[in-house]
Amino acid sequence: MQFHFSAVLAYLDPGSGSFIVQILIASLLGSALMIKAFWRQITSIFRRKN
Amino acid sequence: MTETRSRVAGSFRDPSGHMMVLDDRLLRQVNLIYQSNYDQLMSSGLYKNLTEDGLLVTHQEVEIGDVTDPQAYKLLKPELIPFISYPYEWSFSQLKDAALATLDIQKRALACGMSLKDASAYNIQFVGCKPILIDTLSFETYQEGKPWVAYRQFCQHFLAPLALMSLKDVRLGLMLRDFIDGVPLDLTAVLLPWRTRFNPGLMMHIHLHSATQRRYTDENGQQGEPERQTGVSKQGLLGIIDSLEATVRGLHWKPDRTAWADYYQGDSYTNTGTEHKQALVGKFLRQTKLQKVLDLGANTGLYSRIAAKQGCFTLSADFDPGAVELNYRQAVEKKETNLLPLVLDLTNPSPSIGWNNTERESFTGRCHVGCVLALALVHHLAIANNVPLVDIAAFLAGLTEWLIVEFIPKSDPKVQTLLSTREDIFPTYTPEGFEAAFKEYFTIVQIEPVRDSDRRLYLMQKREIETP
Repeated sequence: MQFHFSAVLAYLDPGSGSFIVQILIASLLGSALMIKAFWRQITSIFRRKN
Repeated sequence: MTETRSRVAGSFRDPSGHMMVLDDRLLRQVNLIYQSNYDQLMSSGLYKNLTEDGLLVTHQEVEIGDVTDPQAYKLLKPELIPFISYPYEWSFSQLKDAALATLDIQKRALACGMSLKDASAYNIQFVGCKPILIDTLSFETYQEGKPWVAYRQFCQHFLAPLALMSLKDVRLGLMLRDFIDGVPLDLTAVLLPWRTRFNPGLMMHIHLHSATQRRYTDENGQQGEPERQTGVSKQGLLGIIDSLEATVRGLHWKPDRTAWADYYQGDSYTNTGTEHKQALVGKFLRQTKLQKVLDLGANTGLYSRIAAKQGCFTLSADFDPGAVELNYRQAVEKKETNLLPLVLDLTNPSPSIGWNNTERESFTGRCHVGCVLALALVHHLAIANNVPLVDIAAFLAGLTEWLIVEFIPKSDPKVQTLLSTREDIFPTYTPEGFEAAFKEYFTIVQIEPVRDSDRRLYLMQKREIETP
């Protein structure tokens, strides 16, 4: 199966393994970032109050 | 007038364009194939955003009439970088700052609908002590769902060497000299301590990454096809960038204090001697009135800063990664703009590496300065490394027009230490022998004894050597 992305300028071989590992970790890290941003918002409210 | 044009040797990988020297001007050609990406870089606000914060080299578009290549779309004249250095010449914090700058640039690119299509450490240079991206053609239009094409390169060029330097041995940074496309992840995974599997960032970006690469590489060494097709959301990609940033920030290295502590205090000078030597170096430098200085054996940069304060751009090189690390930290702290600390072993300076041995130029090929400072250096080369004095003079004459050099005689405690464990096979290592050897390449302009010591400081100018 192929990745279907424009390869016109893809002069660098990204490596299939390097693509797969990103797919494996992306959801986890994306969610972690969202939680982090949410947590920052919460703490900033308290910081403002102080 | 005939046009003289040559492509820069290391600029051949990317079909988007290349660097060239055209009638002594360093220019970047942008090819038609890259047109939409270049236009997006300029119109999306990304170029402005990055250049205003000193993260991307500025450029001017110049008349394309000079170029006859039908592939050419634009011709750019980039701001010149005072000295092109390579990642294996950087201290730990220099490589770390370059890595963080790359991730910062990628985040800003994503915010403007673009993404870095490469993350090569060679694309980062230092202006002052600030890392800056010099490859204007590193950006491509971001496609939703597409994983980061430069992820592997980032891990190999930055994360792997930083982890090895931080958690194993700082000298492993020199592996970048052997592996021009960064340290392979399988090798990194083997070399890193086992406990790094408990570091979430290193677990994912090095160990799991390496295992996945192995899983999808067939027996012929070709990357195999993935079993399923899916993408990486933008949120997921931002998560990966954030995780890489946290992992890089979490890596630290502190120089071993025993190797450098109190070096200047312990260099067998009295305070009067040190102050006198500093004054002499300052006086000699003023006499040369030059723009570019190279301080060899600079330690933490005490004498380099005398040159830098006189307005000279100064390369401050030393073989000790700890001294260079401290030198760099000091330069960052003081926001010094014309000093560049570099790791350089003079007994084995950076060679020419890469394709055809011309892709990354040797240190001596890149370095042509107005003045070299060689203070407390000659005895290390002559006695610790057995280099004949005349060969040292020839080497220095290849780098510079002016030379400020110190001669430390055998009576000095530093030389005594070097000779204490070995036979003295250096009968010509005397002031007379030193002067005779250096006179083959230089004219001695001035000699000053350094107070409270037997040492002498020389100001020399390169001789015009007649060729038969």
